[in-house]
Amino acid sequence: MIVELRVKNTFIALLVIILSFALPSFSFAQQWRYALLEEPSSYPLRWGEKEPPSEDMVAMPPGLDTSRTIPSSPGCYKVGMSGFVLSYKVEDSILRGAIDVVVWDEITGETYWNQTYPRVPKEGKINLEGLVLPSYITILRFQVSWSGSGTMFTRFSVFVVLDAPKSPMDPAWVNVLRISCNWARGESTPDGAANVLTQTLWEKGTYDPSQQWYTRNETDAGETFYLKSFLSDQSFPRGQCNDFADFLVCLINSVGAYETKAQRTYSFTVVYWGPLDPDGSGWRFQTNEVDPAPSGGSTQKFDFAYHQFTVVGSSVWNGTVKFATGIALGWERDTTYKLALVEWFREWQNHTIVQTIGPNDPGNPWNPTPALGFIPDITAADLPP
Amino acid sequence: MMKKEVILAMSLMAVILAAFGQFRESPPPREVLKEVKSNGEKFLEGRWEGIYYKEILEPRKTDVNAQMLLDLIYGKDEIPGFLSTPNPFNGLHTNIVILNSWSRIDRAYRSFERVMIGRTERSLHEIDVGIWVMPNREEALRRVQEAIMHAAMAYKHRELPSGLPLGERFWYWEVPNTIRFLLGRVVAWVTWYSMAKPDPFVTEALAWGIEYRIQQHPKLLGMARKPVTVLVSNRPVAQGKAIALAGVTVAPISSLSPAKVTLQTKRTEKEWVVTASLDGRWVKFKAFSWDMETEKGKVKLERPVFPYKGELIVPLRQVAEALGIKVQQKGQTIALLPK
Repeated sequence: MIVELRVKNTFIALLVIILSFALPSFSFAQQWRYALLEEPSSYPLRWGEKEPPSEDMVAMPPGLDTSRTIPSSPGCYKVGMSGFVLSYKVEDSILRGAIDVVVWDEITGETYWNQTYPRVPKEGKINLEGLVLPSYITILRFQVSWSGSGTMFTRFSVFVVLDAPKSPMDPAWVNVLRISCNWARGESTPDGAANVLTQTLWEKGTYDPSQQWYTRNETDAGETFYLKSFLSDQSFPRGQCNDFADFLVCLINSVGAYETKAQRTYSFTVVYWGPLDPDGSGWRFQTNEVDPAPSGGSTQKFDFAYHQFTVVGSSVWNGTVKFATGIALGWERDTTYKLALVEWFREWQNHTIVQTIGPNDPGNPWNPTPALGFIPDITAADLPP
Repeated sequence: MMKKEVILAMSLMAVILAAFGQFRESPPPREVLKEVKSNGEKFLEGRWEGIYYKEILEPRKTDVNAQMLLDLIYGKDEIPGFLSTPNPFNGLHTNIVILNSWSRIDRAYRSFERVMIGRTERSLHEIDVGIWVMPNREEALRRVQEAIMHAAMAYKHRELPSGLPLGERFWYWEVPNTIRFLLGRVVAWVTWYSMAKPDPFVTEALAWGIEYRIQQHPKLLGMARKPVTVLVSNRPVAQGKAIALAGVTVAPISSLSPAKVTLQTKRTEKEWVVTASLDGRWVKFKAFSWDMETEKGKVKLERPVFPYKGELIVPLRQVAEALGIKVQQKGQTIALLPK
């Protein structure tokens, strides 16, 4: 009896396995060729996976095209955009079917827009009338379904940003937009976006100023930021001030909030680098009590050779530390920010301290460099030794 | 009699091999990796179970391989209270990159305890272990000095919490609690990021454990390692596993088993404790601790206890003597003489 039952069960299991392999082959007659958001044009995007950038671009228009190497592409549009046209082609054994477009907010999961187009041909264009993108930053998920002899669907993401992404996020990296749109979801103003991105970087970040992390070739004119390696760090987001400032530039600029730049407290030529400093001379400074990310509220004073932050003109955003009065969110660089950051500057000559002066004392080295800030040179190349 | 010994030796060998296989982490399988070309070079690249992996295929000029790097680092669950869980943003806990110019393995271990920072929930503690293997010692030293010199925070030399010398050279920061050291052509570091208070002695114990692992690979040291021979009743034990760490011999606690020491291990996700006993005497020690409990009270250890391939490594002489075993050392040979 038991043996008989076992044989029967084995037979059923085999049948299920055979059917599960056989069934998909019935749907060979029905398949997508493409489903693309043909109009309006998406901002160009980069995957952020390899160099050179020309070999790393996201194929446009957004949506599915089975003739592409990577068939499905995300898109990126300005808030409030409308006039979307879906171009599609399917293969099916019947002449007409229904197209259903569902758009939902990928972050909250809420349905944003839904429309069914019944009895449409297998190839054509559909004006997605009534689809107006939100007035705030978010990520939308498009699902386009075809119901003909059977039902099939395809999905792709659309990043909704305040304005065209700015350099060095021009084209913006998909893996940066995933983070920036997520953190700044719901923000509709440049200030709001820059502030929440800075605040979130501080909350989620691991600030470690003990070593050089993902920047190289640092000069007064700029530096190379190994963004792919930074994004792959097992403790992401982790780094020293260079990395945090450069990444904040990428975050804010990717959502088109501002064209921010990175800047340092003063020129490298006046930094005292410690015992290995070639001429043994230059400046360092001690910070006021600050709460670095992440410290759980305990504050400390750092002995800095220099510090790097993110600027728009002379307004500073800084996600590395929280000051006694809060996180620097658009603070005036040469007054509020400097006084919050610096307790005193110290000058060294021949590896010996020669003077210690206050942040506003005459002769202090504060001289934000370069004067207009710099755009980090970002790369997906392997981090060099 | 002879036959019995052979059977015993074979059984022991089988146990050791099984343990070795069990505790040796394997690199990502070839089939989950893709061959990619970039700037005229060919790589294997991919992600697998929280590991980002990239390895140069052509032109290949390095002698480093993934297994070698994995052998240098703690397993995902080897630090009690911590686990290598994937980063919520990129799904990674480990990076393995093998290039011609350098190779590295970095791994994060996150505490089970979590805390809210603003709207963000994150681990209360995170330990990060990184190991770079450079083509030679000079390159390794140059790289570590450059990384420190290009740091925004000024470096000021400090002694390690124990006051001991680690590697050939070491660098120590209290905040964030970081130890970096150079040994042969390897640069290793251990950092304890904490939203409460890190334990600098545990950070140091972790670093000593990495030094032990590096010493298991003479190819990385750029010099021949002087082997330490441990004899129990004139028979060698723990071959290749007994190593001198800054002058003190450490070895797996199982080295004492042939001396009729009974071992009892209690390993949970939060603690790893071994009790060793012999003729009524006992010692008890925890992974990454600097002391042991005995029936006479706490005893400070000369070197910390740390895990390696499924068991704890201990300062041999101190533990043996606490169990009443006589220890005689002559040059690189240590003889344990049970009563």
